[in-house]
Amino acid sequence: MIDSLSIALLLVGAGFFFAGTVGLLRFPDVYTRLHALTKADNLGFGLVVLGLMLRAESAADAGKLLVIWLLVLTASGAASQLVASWARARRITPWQG
Amino acid sequence: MMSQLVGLLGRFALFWGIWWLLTDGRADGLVLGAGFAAAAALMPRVIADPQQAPAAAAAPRALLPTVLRGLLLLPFFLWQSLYGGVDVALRALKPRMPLKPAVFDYRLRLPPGPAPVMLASLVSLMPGTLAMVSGARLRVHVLDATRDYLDELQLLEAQVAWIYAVALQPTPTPLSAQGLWQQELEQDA
Repeated sequence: MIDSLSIALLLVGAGFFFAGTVGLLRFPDVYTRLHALTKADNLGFGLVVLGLMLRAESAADAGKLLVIWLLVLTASGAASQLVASWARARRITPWQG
Repeated sequence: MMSQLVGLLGRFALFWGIWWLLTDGRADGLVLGAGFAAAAALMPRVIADPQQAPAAAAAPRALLPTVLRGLLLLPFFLWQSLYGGVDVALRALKPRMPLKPAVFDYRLRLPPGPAPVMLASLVSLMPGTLAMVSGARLRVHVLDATRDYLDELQLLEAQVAWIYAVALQPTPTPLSAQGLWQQELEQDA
């Protein structure tokens, strides 16, 4: 039961990574691509972490995974702001449909 | 003095807990970890900028309640980021790729400091919005210009203010006109 739930979470997580990568390739400019990376990949990573936590051997292992997820979340939030500021400093105008 | 001690102990507990996690819950390393956790907990007092002494004294004290209040709102943030991830994933996978981006500025009611950065990070996880701090404003890039984002931004800002225990400052106009991006680019040039 726990095993199949874990597998389901890992697969759905991988699906969001896939969608995020498709967005990175298809979206028209740096800002829209950041949308895809920050949101879809964070969600995918969160689901993968959740799936792995179900398989963790100890509470400390599960907690460590949670801390890793929080760190990645913080880092990707900061990185997306930095990339967006960089793009604006380079006067890259947003794509408008 | 009392509250500084509480803050010190709170930080110590937090860092010691992280040590416990990183050492796979082993008991024999806890004494060593206590030493490092104590050193790390004292760090903000050692490296505090003397010119900002009042602010620096207030900030570490607020760390533990801030972490706890943040944890209380975590379910809401997680739910919103789930929605945000599904939203952008669907947009990326749909053959016609429904995008209608726009940029606008949101005048911050939060005081400068870590709170606006936290707000920008959270806004970037919410459905359809991406934000960066630009002075006293939040520059927001949205994927769907036909929707109104003002209510969500104000709600999020109020929640971040609650987490950091800071007061929202009133602004004369809550939202500036769209198209500001272009104007600023012209001013820059």
